Amino acid sequence: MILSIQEEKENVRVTLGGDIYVQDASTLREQLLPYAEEGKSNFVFDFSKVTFIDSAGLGVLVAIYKRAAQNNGGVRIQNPQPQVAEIFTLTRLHHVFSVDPS
Amino acid sequence: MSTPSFDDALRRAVHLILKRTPLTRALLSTPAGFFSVEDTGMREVPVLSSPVPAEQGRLHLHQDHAVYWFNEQCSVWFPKYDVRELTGDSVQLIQDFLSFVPHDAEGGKDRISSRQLMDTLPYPVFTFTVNMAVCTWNLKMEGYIEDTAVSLSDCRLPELFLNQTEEKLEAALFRAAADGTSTFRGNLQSRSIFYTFDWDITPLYDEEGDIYAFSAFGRNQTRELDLEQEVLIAGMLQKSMMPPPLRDARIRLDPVYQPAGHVSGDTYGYYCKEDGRKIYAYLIDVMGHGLPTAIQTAAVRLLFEQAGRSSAPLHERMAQINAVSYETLPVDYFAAAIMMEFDLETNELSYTSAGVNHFLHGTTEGTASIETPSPFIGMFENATFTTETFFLQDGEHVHLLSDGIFDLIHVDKLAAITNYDDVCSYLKTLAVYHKRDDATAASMLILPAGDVQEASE
Repeated sequence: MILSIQEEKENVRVTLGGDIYVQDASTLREQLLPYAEEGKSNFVFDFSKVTFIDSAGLGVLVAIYKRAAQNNGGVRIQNPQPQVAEIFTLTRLHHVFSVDPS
Repeated sequence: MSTPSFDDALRRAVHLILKRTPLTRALLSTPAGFFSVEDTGMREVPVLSSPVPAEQGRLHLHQDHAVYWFNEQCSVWFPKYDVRELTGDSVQLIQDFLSFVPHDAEGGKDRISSRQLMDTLPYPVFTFTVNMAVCTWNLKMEGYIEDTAVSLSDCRLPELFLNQTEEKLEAALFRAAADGTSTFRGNLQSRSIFYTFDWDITPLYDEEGDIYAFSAFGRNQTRELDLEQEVLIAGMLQKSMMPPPLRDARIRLDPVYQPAGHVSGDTYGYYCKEDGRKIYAYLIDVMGHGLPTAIQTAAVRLLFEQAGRSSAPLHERMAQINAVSYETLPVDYFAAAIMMEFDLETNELSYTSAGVNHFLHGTTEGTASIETPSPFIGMFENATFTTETFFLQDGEHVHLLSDGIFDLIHVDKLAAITNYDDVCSYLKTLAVYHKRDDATAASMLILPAGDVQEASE
C-alpha cells in the first residue's frame, strides 16, 4: 500500500500502490497523519501504482489535506490511473486536491 | 511423583506473558550480567539500552509497557511502573532494578522467592497434577474463589470449573501434552460474580522428561465477552430499525442490508410522504466501521428522516444536512448519501447525491449505472449539491447502493439483467458473499397503475 515515504523540510512525498480499501485506511492514517500533525504542509502522492481507492482511503487524504491547509499547504495527487482519477472527479475531490494527470 | 514447583510454574507463566505481550523492554539477569531473552529460547526481546535512574522508587521509561527482569532462577515482573521517559544507562538501570529486591534485617539483599513473584502477577496462576488435583496457586487465584465453597487445597479441576466436564478437561491436557500448550475456557465465581477465563495450560516436566504436572495461567475474558455482547445487541437494534419491504399499488421497495461486522455504518429508509403523492427514499454510508461509526450513522439517519418531511428542493435539504453534519460529526468523519423522491402521479424521479456516485437504473433494455458526481457530507462546510430529475416508465426500477455493493458489481453482467427481482437477487448475492464492507441497497420498482402486487417477503 505505502511503497515509500520521503520527507524534506515541509514536504512529504508518498508513493502508494495497489488497491486501497477500508482495511488499509487505518494503516494509512496511522503512518501519514503524524507528518501532518508535526507541521508538514505539502503532501505529494504518487498514485501511478494505485489501482483503486475507496471512500475510507479518500477520507485519509482529506484528513491530511485539512491539516496541511491549516499550515497553508495542500495535497497534490500525481499520475493517477484513469479509473482512480475518475474517483477523484466523481467525489469532487479534484476541486480540493491538485490532481496532475498521468 | 514430584510436586510442581512455583519456579517451574513461574517460568511457564512468564513465558506465556512474553508470548502474548507487545513487549519491547526486557532484561535477563545472571551472575554474569544481562543478556537478551533471545538466548533463553524465548521470544526475542531487545535489551534496554538507555534506562533511567529511579526517582522516588519509580522507573520512567518512554513507552507504556511493563518492565521485565529476569534473574538466574526465574523471572520477575514489575507491571506497575510509571513508564514515561528514557534516559540514563544500563548500569543505572541494573541498580534500579536491584533496589526493588527486598532487604533482610541486616540490610543485605535477599532473593525474592518464587511464591512472592507469583503473587505479584495480576493473573491467576495455579499448578495441578496429571490427575487434575490442584497443587499450588497464587494470591490472585485465591481472590477469584473467595466467598465460595471451593477449597483449592482439596480440589480437582472439574470441581473448580463447573462449566467443564472431566472429559473436556482431559482432552485439553492431552492437547497440551502433545502440542506443548492448550487452552480451555473455565468460569470462576467470586462474590456472586461470574468471571469467564481462558486458561492456558502447559506441561511441567521432571528430570527424566516426563510430564508430572501442568501449570495454568488465566486470562480474564469477562470484559471482552460483555463488550462483544453489547455490540451484538447494538447490531440487532440497528437491524430492527430498518424498514421492511414496502408494497404499494404503484411501487415496490426492497432493501438489502448486510453489515460487514456486528454493526453497520450503512443505513437506508423510505416512506410515503404525508401528501400520499411522493415516495421519499435515502441511503447513507458513513465512513468507517464498528460501533463509533454506527453511532454516527444513527445521528445522520435522523437528519435524513427529517429531510423527507421538507418540501424544499432536494439539494437544499442535502446542503442543510451537510451543514449540520459538518458541525456535529467528529473530525475526519464523513458520509456518502443519496436521497430521492418519486412522484407517483407524474412518474418524475428527483435525486440528489452526496458522495454516492452511482445508482442503478433498470429498463426493458437492461440495467445500467448512472453516475452522480457529488461531494461527501460532513467533509467540507460549503459543499454544494445538485438536484437531477428524469421520468421513469412503468416497470422500470432504480437501486440505491452503498459502495460495499457497488464496488463488487460486474457492469457487463448487470447490463444483461432486465428483471427487477433478478437485479435484487444479484445485489443480495454480492452483499452476502463478499463481506469486505458494509453492503446496503434500496431498490424501487414502478408498477403500472392498477397493477397491484401481492405483498410478499
